[in-house]
Amino acid sequence: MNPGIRSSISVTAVVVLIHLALWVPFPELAVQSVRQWVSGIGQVLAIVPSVLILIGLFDAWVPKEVVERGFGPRSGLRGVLLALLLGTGSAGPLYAAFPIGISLLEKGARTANVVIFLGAWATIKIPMLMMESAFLGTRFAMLRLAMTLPGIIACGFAMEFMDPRPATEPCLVRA
Amino acid sequence: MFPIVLLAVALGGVAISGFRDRARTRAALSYAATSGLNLLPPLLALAAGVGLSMSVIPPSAIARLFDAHGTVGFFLLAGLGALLTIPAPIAYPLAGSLHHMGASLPALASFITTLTMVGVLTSPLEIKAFGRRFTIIRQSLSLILALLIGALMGVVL
Repeated sequence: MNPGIRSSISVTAVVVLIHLALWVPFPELAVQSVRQWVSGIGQVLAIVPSVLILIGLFDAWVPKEVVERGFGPRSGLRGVLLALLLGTGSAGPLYAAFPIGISLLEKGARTANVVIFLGAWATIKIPMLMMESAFLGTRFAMLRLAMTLPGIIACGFAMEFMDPRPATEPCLVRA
Repeated sequence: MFPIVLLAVALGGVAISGFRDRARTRAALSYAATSGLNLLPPLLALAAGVGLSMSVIPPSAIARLFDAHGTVGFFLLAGLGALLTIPAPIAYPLAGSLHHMGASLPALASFITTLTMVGVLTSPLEIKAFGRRFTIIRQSLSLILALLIGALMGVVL
C-alpha cells in the first residue's frame, strides 16, 4: 500500500482515538473539535488538489531556464518583485505555498526569492488587507504593510546567507 | 468562490495540456497525485490540531484572556500567535475584538504577523518540505520580524 495512504489512515485513527477519549469527559468539546477538523479538511480539499495539479503542469511545461531567469541568482530586483507578486497574487493557506516553493527551488530559483515568496503569501494579501483595515483601521493596516514589506525582503536575504541551498525533500514531490 | 475558480483553471490547464501532449500531462497528473498523497497525513494532523486548539480555546476566550496591557500582553500575544495558525478570516475579527477589549495595537501587529508567518502547528509540514534547518531559521527570523514590527508600531502609533 502507498505509504501516504497508510500514514493517513494511522493519523486518522489516532485523531479518532483522541476524540473518543475526550468525548467521555467533554462530549460537547469533542463534537465541536471533530466538526472543526472535518471543515478544516474540507478547506484543504477545496484548494490543495487544484494547486498540486497546477504545479504538476508547471513542472511539466515550464523549462528550468525560464524559472532560473525569473527567480535565479542573477534575477536581481526583478526577481524580488516577481516573488512578491507571485505571493500576493494567490490565495490559500501558507501550506499550499510549500509545494510551489519546492518546485521553484528545484528549478533554480534563489533561496531569497523563495523565502520572500513564502512571506508575501503569508501576510500580504490584498483581500486580507481590506479585512485588516476594516477591523483595525486603515492606518494600522498600511503601517503594518509598510514594515512587513521590507522585513520580508530582509528575511529572504538573511535566510539565503544562513542557508544558501536548503535541502528540499524531493520525496514530497516525486515519491 | 476562489476554490471553484482555481479548480476551473486547473482543469482547463489539464485539458489544454492533454490536447497538446498526452505523456507530459500524464506525468503532471501523477506528480500531483504522489505529492498529494505525501501531503495528506501531515495535513490531516494539522487540521485536527487546529480544530482541537480552536475548540479548547475558543476565540472569545482568547479575547477575554489577553486583554492585558503592557509588555506582558505584548509577549503573550506574540507567543500565542507563533503557536497557533488561525485562518486569516478568523484572525482579523479576533484581533479586532482583542483591540476592543484593550489589547494595544503594537501587540496586535506582532500578533497578526506571528499568526500568519510563524506556526509551530504547521512546522512539521514545512520541515517535510524544506528541511529542519530552513524551517527553524525562517520561523525564527519571522518571529524577530514580528517583534520588531510590534516595537516599531509602538513608536509610530
